[in-house]
Amino acid sequence: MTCNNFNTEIYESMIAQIAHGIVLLDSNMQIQYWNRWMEQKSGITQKDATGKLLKEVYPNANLLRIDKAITDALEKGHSSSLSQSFSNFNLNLSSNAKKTLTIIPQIYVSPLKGSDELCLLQITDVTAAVTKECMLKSIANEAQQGRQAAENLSQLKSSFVATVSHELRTPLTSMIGSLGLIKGNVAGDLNNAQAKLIDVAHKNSELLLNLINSILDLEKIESGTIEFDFRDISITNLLEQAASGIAGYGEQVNINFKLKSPDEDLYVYGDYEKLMQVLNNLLSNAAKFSQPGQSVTIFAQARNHYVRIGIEDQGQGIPDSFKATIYDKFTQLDSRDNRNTSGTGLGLAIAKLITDKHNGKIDFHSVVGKGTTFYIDIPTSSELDVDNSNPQLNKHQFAG
Amino acid sequence: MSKPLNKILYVEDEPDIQAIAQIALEAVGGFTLKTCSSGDEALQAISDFGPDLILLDVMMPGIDGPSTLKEIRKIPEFLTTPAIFMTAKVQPDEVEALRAQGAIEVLSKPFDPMSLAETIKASWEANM
Repeated sequence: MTCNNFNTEIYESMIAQIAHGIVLLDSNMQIQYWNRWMEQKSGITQKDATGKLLKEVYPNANLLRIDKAITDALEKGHSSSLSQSFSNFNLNLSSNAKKTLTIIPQIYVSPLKGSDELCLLQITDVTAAVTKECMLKSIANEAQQGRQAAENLSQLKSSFVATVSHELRTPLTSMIGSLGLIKGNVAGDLNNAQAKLIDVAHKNSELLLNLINSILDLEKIESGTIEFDFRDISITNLLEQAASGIAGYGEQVNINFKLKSPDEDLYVYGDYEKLMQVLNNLLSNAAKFSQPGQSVTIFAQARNHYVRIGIEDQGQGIPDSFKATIYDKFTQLDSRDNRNTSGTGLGLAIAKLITDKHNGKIDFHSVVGKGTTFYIDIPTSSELDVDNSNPQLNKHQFAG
Repeated sequence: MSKPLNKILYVEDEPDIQAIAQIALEAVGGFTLKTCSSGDEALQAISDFGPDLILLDVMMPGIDGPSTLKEIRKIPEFLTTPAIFMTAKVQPDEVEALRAQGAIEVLSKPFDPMSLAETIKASWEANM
């Protein structure tokens, strides 16, 4: 596009109205032009500025770098860009004490081609951008510090839990050991009352040990310090081992554990030992809340992209008031008789954590007085989530 | 089976746990026990006692269980004497690491004092 049709007046008006500062200096570094933007920002008119040196207009400013840039432009024809945010170059465009407008300028210094040794200064107000950048930096810093603090805290917690657990196990070893020997009549025969009291003490020290082990388990799963050994595992093997493991306990408390094996062997993608831990928890819960003589059924069903493993009892059921907090730590329902108060209140919290790590689900149906069915849904492949059959990111790969 | 298990060198720094294991192994198990409270004490006592099996706590002040076993293995006479660790750390990877140090078994604490002797005897026989 050619602009030959425009007269000088239009050019002048255009430059005057530009939303940047335009200053033209001659070879003596004296101001020859000072546009309207400069007038507005500095409070100095073009008339007052003309013929003066920059340092006369800005007596308090540190002009070292800008003077060097101007000299480079006039003598060597070099251009330079001076940015406030990257140097301590300082130019308060308001030299008028009454006007306290402070901006952060970016100044582009260049020789003006085609003229005799003139230098053009273009000044842009980058206050908003720099302020935003500073804010973002400080937000990023704070977030980084927050992350670091959270990480430190979590490490502190992990090592605290590990240390405490070890320290607690040592005296507990002595207690359980002593009580076990007395209970086994190694220190002499016990009368009935003694046997009963020792039994209570022994049972409770074992409960304390279970609690410590569960807290340690929970902490390790939550913090990701325990590794899950994921592979394709056979449901038949898992259920058979779970059933035979609980059979002895079943005889003790007169609960009949029945295994309803699936017609064909099913496979899920999971950690065998961890799933076994979940099943043990669910099975002992089922026994705990059943009456002697009742039975507990273990079953498995193939679903679309997951397998449901269920534990069905005929016990007392779970009241509605307890349902919302059932997976919370240290919550437990009193069993109907006083036979079993030996829970830690952590079993379901651990079971939920473990099924979550499998991209799975734990849930239950329960009718008070009729019984409860707890079930876990475990995906058949690492790519799947029980709530969504579409392949998606495999969470446990990031679980540490 | 070459010979029955009789003499056990037991290294444990906790006096209370020592007392329990001693009753569990002597009174219940019928073994002959030499109890040492540190790795150094064990190294001094081992040649005179001549154990069939060495039972070591893992975490002890001074030289720990695995280091004690390493020193014991430098004595030609005890190069292959079966060793068992007892530990309050029972994570699978920790157990594996202890087995790799040349133990035939790793027992967890707390232990059942009534079955401790049986467990040790079973490990001994499985190793024969």
